[in-house]
Amino acid sequence: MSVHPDSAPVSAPAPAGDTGTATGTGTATEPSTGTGATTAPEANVLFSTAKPRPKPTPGDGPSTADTAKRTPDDVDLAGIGGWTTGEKLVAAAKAAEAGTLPGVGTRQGELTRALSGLRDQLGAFELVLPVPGVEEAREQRLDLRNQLVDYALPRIEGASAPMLVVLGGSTGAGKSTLVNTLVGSRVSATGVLRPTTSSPILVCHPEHAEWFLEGPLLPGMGRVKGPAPDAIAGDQLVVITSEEIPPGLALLDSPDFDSVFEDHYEFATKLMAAADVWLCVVTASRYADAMVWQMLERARENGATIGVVLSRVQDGAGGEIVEHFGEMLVEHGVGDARRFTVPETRVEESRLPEEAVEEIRAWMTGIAEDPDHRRVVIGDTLGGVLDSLRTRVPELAEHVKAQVEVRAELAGLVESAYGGNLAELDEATRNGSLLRGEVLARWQDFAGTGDLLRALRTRRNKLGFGRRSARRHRSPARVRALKGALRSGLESLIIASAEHAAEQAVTAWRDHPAGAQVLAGSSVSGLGEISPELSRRVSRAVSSWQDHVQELVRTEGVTKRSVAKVVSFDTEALALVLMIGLLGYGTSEVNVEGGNSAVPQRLLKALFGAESLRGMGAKARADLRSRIAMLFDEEGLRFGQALDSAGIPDETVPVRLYQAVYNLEVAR
Amino acid sequence: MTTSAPPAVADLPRDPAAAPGLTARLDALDRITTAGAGRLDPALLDDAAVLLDRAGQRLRLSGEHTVVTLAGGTGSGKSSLFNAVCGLELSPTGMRRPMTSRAHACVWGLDGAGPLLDWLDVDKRHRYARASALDLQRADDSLQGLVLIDLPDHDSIQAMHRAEVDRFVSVADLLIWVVDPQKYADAALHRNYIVPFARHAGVTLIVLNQVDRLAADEVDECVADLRRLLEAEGLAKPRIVTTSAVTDEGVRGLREVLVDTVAARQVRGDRLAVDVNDIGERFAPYKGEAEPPTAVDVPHGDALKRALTDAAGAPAVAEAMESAYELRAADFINWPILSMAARLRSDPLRRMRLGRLREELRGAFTGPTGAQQGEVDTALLDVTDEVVADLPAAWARSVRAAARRNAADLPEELGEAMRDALPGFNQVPRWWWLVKTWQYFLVLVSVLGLAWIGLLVAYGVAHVAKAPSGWVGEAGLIPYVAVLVVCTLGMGWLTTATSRNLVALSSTKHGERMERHMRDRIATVTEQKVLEPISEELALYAAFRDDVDLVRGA
Repeated sequence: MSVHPDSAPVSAPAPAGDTGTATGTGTATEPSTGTGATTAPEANVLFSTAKPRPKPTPGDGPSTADTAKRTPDDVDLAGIGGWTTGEKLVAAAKAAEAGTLPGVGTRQGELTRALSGLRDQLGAFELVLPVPGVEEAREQRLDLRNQLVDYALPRIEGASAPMLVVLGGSTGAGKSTLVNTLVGSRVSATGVLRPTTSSPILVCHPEHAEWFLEGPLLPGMGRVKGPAPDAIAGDQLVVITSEEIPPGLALLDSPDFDSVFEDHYEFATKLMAAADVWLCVVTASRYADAMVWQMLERARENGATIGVVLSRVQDGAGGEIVEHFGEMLVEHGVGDARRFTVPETRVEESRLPEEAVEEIRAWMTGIAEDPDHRRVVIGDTLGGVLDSLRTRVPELAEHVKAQVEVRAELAGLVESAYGGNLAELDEATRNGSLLRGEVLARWQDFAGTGDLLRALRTRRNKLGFGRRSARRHRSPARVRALKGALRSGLESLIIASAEHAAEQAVTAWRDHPAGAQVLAGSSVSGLGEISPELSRRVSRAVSSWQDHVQELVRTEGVTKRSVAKVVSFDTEALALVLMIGLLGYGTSEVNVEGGNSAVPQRLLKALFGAESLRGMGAKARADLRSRIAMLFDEEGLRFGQALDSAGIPDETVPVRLYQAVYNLEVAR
Repeated sequence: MTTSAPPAVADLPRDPAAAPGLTARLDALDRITTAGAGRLDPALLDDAAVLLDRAGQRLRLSGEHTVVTLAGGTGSGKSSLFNAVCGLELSPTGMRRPMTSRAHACVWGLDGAGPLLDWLDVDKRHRYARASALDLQRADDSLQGLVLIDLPDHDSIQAMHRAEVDRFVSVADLLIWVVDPQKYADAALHRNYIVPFARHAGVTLIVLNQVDRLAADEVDECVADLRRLLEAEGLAKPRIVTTSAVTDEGVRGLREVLVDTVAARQVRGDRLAVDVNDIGERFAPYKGEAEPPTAVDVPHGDALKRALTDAAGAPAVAEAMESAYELRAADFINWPILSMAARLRSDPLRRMRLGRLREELRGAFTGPTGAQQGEVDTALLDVTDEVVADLPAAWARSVRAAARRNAADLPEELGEAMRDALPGFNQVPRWWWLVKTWQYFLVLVSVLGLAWIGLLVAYGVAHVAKAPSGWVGEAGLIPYVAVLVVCTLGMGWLTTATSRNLVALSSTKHGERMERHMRDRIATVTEQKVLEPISEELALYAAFRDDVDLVRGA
């Protein structure tokens, strides 16, 4: 068993508390639910028979004659279906703790609630990413939901409803012929054209027609009162009444599961899941079809009670085939299925000779006429279905986890693309590779012509003799030009890097099957490029960084006292020198030859002192990095949006599924 | 497939039985595969390579034989049919399912069939030959050249069988699907085989077996339903034959079809042609509708050149070079006295013990050093936008990649191009020396003048001693000499001012010429390193388009 209380979240309702109040308040609070009317009497019955304790007054009495009539059945059924099948450890422990036997009615309500909760959880997410096995997972989810909605919930609600025998099988296996024979009249079309039956046909005793027409069974399907008109949409359940069918039994002729019509397969599986007994009809010529065995295994996993009819067995080799078939049944784990054989005979008026189906009829009549037997079968199936949830839901949760993991993987791809580029960018702003082309030319112009030195002024000699006034007006121009060149160099470096990252991320996604799907379905356009507003943001970030550096120089550039006495400086120009130094002037191979490798550093060190310079440098660099990281984060966010809009389940879904199963276990 | 080496398509046997143009189309497919490597969907290219391989091998092998496969679901009577056509109990039949687990082959006319069967990988134990001398009584010349293969089922629980079927149906010349009344509408057959092979209608035959189980009118009804189903699935004009292996007469229809097929010897080429068509269709989405451009248009090319010029900082470099030029000129033309005065001025650097920094800074002009990668990348971003607008995504990507193929080398290349333009700047014009000489001459004159004044003052005014000559003793000369000195100084200043203007003029001229030069060189580099690769890629795409058309037989 893969689910046990330990694995469920702690927030699960405390069992003891629940059962402690079950006898007193449970029934009293129950009437609000749809099953309240029928639960109350059950509680009474159980109390009067099982527990000699002062009987609490139920919230309301039996409201209809019908419920009163059904009461004993219900109790028995619950006893069989809910208690004797499977190991009810949780429930037993619960009962022991509370020192009482919990009221059946309460339990039914709880069960319904737990199942509805599970159903809601199952519908609360989508398996969108194409991870391996997702197809099966989707089908599994649909199956689970369908089985809860079509079978488990209605079955608990209408416990006394007749036992539903669903006939399924390959096309041309003779399902309809078998139904016609059992009913004794032509209720379902037969013929040589494949597939023959396109809409499911349900045959029941007139007494139960109302239940099948109005009841909660298979809520997704429409109902048509038979005999049906010829053309009927596939999702209509044709209900035909026949006196031939004993009360307490209903036959459902379902479409094939292996013909070219995909919807037939859907209905066949849906109906299979809704069956109390699933009767699989296969023919002697195709009993080795992969499809047949897939369906049988599926039925087994779904907890159905299975019967197998091997039809159209020819006289000659019959024994050999039956034997081989039996071996295969055992091999596939359905060896305990009830087996029947129908020989290949003439079909007259869409019916087989009576003797061919004697065995099946006897078995059915046996079940139908013996309520205890019937209850055992129904209870077994319900128990089996509920048992199967223990493994099936966790399996599904694993698939959901896989989706969550893939989502994380995709997010990780984006992160590594941007992270890698950020690191490269960091390196590029450090190793001097930015100091090329225009930036370098402007720096040379600025430094070489002496404008840099002119930014330093001797304090005492403000009106220096021989200052060439013709040059003076060019000084701010060179500063401005260098500043602009630095800005545009940084900007284009950042933008190119962001572009590169976006491209890398998209390529990584495109190469990832799940990523390709997210990309294809994404409403966020232009993921492979930078976002349109990036260039604006970048220029804002870079110029505010420059301002920041200037501010640093102004406020933190504590000039060495010895220097401060003699020299004053121009903040703007020195901020530029600091930036050039930060960007790695002199570290790049191209600048070493001149012998002026560390000019900015030496100048700054002389001005500010090593410590102050280090502090400023670290701050300025950290500021630049954080600004770029922020820009990149915003860029990466678009991928996050694409993931979000893809509707991938988040990590709470598996937890909620586990919890729903746990709740169910507690409720049983 | 027994060999994995790709066939040299050029030396494929020119088989007259092959559909006309098949070899040319295979050639085109080969070119597509080569051109598409690294550009298109690898899975598709793999499929194309497999098809080329298979086609090459099949065309090399016997053209006298026609490979026909009998495939179908379990219990549809493939083996019974096989035996009926062969006239012998060669393949085991029975009631147990699944019955046949290995492919059985029967050959009419052994010559050259051996390598073919080896290629098909039919187990030697399951090969049979007809028309040998032994069974002359049923020898049937009309089926000469038939290789009939009985396949295992495709839908049983034995997954291995399906792999075997898949292998054979992908190489057979004629596909026969055997169905029976009970399971002719099985999804397993239709979804996995009929629909994917719908375009092979010409080399497909549907056999409705076991018609003996139906009444006569039911047979017609059944065939009509089957035909409707097949047509709905895209099988154009499906050929349906009804058979019954129970009677001899029952397989006559199938036999006739086989006789015709074998005699025509056409299905081999037809089958390959359909396969080539198929794969051609899969390449079609990569073809694109609009006629592609052959190169980047002029405005975009110019814009790129401008952007790269900016990235290399050509104007800034020119400006810096101008500054360097003027600075160098200053050494020659500046009025030496002013320079001396400046050196005496208080120098902050010296106070900061950074005296040598000034000289180092003068050496800052190391010339252009390439462009910034970031700016180059940004410049390359948009150049292909216009060109790839109408291209399919895969080709748009590859054109964009072609534009950036040399992106990493580009900064260096651009730097190289700019350095070529430098030499004109490094020369020192002769007149700078003249000016310099002239300036020092003036300095000398003024020094001498000052000295003279000094002597005049000493001898003529202060009378420290007896003047050695009248030139130095005459105090009245002082104003004249003073005027001379002032004039000399004025001339020096004037020379400096004039020369500076001249230098400014020539530096601007030089700068402009250098910038122009740099632009030209950058444009050349851009052509070579960016625009030409784009054009080449576009040419490749254009060839690809033609080849796709050829492969599709359009």
